Amino acid sequence: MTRLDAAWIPNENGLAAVGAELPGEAALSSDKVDHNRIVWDRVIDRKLSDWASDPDQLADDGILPPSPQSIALASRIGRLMRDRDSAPPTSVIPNGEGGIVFERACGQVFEAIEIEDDGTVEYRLFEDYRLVHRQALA
Amino acid sequence: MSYGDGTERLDDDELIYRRVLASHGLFNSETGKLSPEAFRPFKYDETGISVDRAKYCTVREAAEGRNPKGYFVAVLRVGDIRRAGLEVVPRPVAGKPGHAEMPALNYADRRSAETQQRKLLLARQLTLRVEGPFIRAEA
Repeated sequence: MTRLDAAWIPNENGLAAVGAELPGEAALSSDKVDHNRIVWDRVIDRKLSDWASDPDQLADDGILPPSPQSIALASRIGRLMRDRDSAPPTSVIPNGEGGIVFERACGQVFEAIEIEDDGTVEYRLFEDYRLVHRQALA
Repeated sequence: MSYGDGTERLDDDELIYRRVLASHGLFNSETGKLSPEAFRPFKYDETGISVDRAKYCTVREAAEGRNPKGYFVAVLRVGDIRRAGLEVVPRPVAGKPGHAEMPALNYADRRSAETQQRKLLLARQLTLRVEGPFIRAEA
């Protein structure tokens, strides 16, 4: 298990660099690139749009659905990562407080990008259940 | 099921249930993976996130809630949780003697590295299985 399994790890440029190809990482095949784009499009054009049109489906006692602002920011981030051929998330989850979490699991590496309702965005990287890196992206 | 007042300490071999919203995609039934967000503390989790003791309720009872898309129920063993350094304490409330809490996962500490790690551990290593979804029958 290496940090190369972490597809989303940003560099010092933060959000602009999320999903950028790591040095030494093998170029993705065109099939893989196409697949990744399809999955991202599903996230942006179906899931996030569905939440925007019917937020009540996500409400519960004390649980807030994603706000329109969070959905808009998540869509923007999704498009940015899609256009950089970044690996798509394995899950997209409302955080229950008006925000959204993109999750990606690969072996013993787990990554999350949390978009909070106040517009802050944080990246978290876990290796073997330990939080080894966290970084504000916006 | 065993009936008491719910104040007795949880045994290591007890099972507990954690209710999970089905509409949030927290459980992927294709992969069998549960999101760490299933153990996220919210504002009302001042003293810890809530779970239900299996000795006091059925899985279906633990899944009761108002969301029409229903709930999954994550099943965990108390002893596994304790070996990971966490605690589950009895916290009976009116009508729910089996209500218990995990004090280490509370709202005030929600952003700490420890909470983030504990959520992931609970979801990906300590959850024995996920049952459901349980959808409320329409009246």
